[in-house]
Amino acid sequence: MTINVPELLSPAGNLDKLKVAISYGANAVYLGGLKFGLRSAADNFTDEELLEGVTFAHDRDAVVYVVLNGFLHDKDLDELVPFIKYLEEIAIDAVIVSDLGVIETIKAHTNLEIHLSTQASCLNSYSAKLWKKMGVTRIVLGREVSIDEAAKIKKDADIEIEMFVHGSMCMAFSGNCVISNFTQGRDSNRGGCAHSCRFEYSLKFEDMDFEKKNHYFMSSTDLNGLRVLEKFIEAGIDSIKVEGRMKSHLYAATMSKVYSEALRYYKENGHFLSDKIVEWESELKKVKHRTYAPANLVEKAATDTIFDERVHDKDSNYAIVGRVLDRANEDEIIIEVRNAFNIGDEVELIPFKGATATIKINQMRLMNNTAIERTNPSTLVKIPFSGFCEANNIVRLKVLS
Amino acid sequence: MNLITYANSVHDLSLIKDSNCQEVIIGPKDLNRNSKLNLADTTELLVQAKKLGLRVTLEWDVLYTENQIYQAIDIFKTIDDSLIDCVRVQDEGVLEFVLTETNFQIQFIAETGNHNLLGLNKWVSYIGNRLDRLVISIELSKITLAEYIDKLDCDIEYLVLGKILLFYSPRKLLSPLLDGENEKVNYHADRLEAIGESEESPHKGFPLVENGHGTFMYHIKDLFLLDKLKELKELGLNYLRVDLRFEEDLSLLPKIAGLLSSTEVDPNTDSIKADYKNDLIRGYYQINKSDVLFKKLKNYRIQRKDSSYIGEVIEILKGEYLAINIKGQASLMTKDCSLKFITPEGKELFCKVHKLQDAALNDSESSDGHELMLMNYMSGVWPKSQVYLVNPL
Ligand code: SF4
Repeated sequence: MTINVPELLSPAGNLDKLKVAISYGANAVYLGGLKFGLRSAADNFTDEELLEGVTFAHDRDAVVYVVLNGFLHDKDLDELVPFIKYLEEIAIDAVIVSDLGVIETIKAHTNLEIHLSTQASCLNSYSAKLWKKMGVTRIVLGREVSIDEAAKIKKDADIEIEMFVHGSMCMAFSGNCVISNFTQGRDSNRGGCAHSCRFEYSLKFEDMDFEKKNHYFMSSTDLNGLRVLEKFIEAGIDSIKVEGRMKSHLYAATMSKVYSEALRYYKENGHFLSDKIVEWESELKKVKHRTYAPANLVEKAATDTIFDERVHDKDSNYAIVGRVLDRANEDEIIIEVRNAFNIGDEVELIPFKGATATIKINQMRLMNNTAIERTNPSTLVKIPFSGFCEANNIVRLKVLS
Repeated sequence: MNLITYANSVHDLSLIKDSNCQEVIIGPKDLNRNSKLNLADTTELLVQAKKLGLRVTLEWDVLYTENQIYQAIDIFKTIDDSLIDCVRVQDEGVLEFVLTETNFQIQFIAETGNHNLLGLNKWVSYIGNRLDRLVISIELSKITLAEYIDKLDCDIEYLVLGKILLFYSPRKLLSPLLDGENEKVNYHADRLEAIGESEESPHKGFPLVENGHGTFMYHIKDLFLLDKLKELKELGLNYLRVDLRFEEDLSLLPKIAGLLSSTEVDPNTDSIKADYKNDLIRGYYQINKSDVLFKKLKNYRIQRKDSSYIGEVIEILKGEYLAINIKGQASLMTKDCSLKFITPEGKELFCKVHKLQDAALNDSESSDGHELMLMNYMSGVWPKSQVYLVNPL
């Protein structure tokens, strides 16, 4: 019997991260072009990078969705037409859209498949039926919807359903926050969110003559749906999505590896009754995150889903030190250094599949073979390693909390 | 041009009537984000509004997940149809329900996004002859508003006075702050109000409300466009909305209605401003430039541009080499080729390749099949500089 599991959809903030996410097991990635999305500060993809990303993905049986989920103004729509024609030409697999004008533009000029972005806050089956009539083939549900509710929406509206499984959460209904628009002059629904919900506030309850100082009262904990993966599968959810186009290569690698391994395990065994789940959970904790919670996936997010803190990497004690760029020779690999490390450190090389390899650094050389004691970020370093590794493998280091 | 506002009491209704308004918006708190009215009070108000001959719009503007929408529909069905002329909705699911399972006229709240004519036109055609009016976004400037009024085949409503909603969350964010505090604090209250401020924001004093539908945050200043009535009238705007629900006092309404009926060319709004308790702004009415800052969020110089792209400088060892991560697929870097470097600061530098090595430091003729190449050093080039072939074939 074949067990169907959802597609794993990982974020690809740039071309390198796309390669990392797919190499580590994501069978779908989503990314943004230079405009029309919600991540203006992200690297995003030029047209040439898009083409290369699509080729890389398709060569590995992965699909590429392009995010066009800004609430666009008329002048933006004029500029959109050549871009969507280009997307069709390079055969991307779908676009993710939240605005009806964008949907109409895409339908008028291309045959691209259209997914409704979570930004449209589609939360119920009536809404899903409406959007289906508008021409969308998949709905990325709002993060307020539980998995049980999603199953019902899928059945009633008879449409593909995508849900977030992991990552940062907007505290507002998506698309329903314009704090940045009116306080910073930056349209949060066209990529300018200034994350005012993560600020520290003092609150006065005047009618009670009571004041509460210095709280992150509108900041959300992070979503982690690993423990409820089985529910996603049983509900027939078509795609599970990881948030985080702005996040690190280590994040892209870890999320893609953990969730793809978990889905593969279920496909082969039909259950999650394994010690592996503890291992996967511990891997997810190794990337920078706020406190994890299942948010609304099972029941409505309660007060413990408010993240009343500033620091959000307290219990993640690993940092990326770099990525493998190439082999220098049979016994040495070249690392592009992101964070400094020293002789004597034990770094971990994360292969695309299988167990992490620990490497005790007892020798390091620059490209010109000069021996060094400590690396610097944005440099290349050769370290001894004769085991199996590939370009884009991520190397991390346990750091003191 | 018609004036429209909300009623929360029978007294409000008589002020609305006295101000020559034809229509009133009423909503029970079970279906409405802001209302304090229970179902019985709502029904009473609907009855009274009808008696006064007012057209009644029921505002049903909460957003619902799957289980919640069915509960809301059950509540909606308990309201006597004959007391409602029109239903005002925002959730597309509620829109779909009202459109397909009732016969009510619909006012669609298109205030969240919906900043293009194409999309708005699609809503107009989708709702068809059941569309009573589109309530459009205050982020649209007057030039856009003029165009939409001209081109949309339906009535348009625009907020001219009242609170600007900045944030709508389904989660309860205020009551947790009060939990466990002293006895004078009632965190079980149906509705909590607070004023928030942050050192990290230049604005102080955001009004916040928590109620059964979640938490709402508003702008520190209220929208005020009453001094633009002449202009709005000339544009052909059909409905002006005034939202004084926070003030819980409609006594300004007759004065506002007076502005509308005034024969003066430019009626004075000073006395209204003086009586109004909150600070005021015009929002995006004059111009919306909320995308101009985006260019500053990103360094466009480190984006690769065309098929002559080779890759990115990832390391420099002064006097010895430049290490280049080969990224472009269309062009090859070869010994003796000429390269252009664009630094992160935007400086353009040119250089000929006379030494080329692969990752194993073997001399090489071309970058073909390699991830990493080392070439002769060139001063002025920095990591993250983008490398392009000059005169690619
Ligand atoms: S400020 Fe927070 S709630 Fe608002 S759009 Fe940004 S992330 Fe979402």
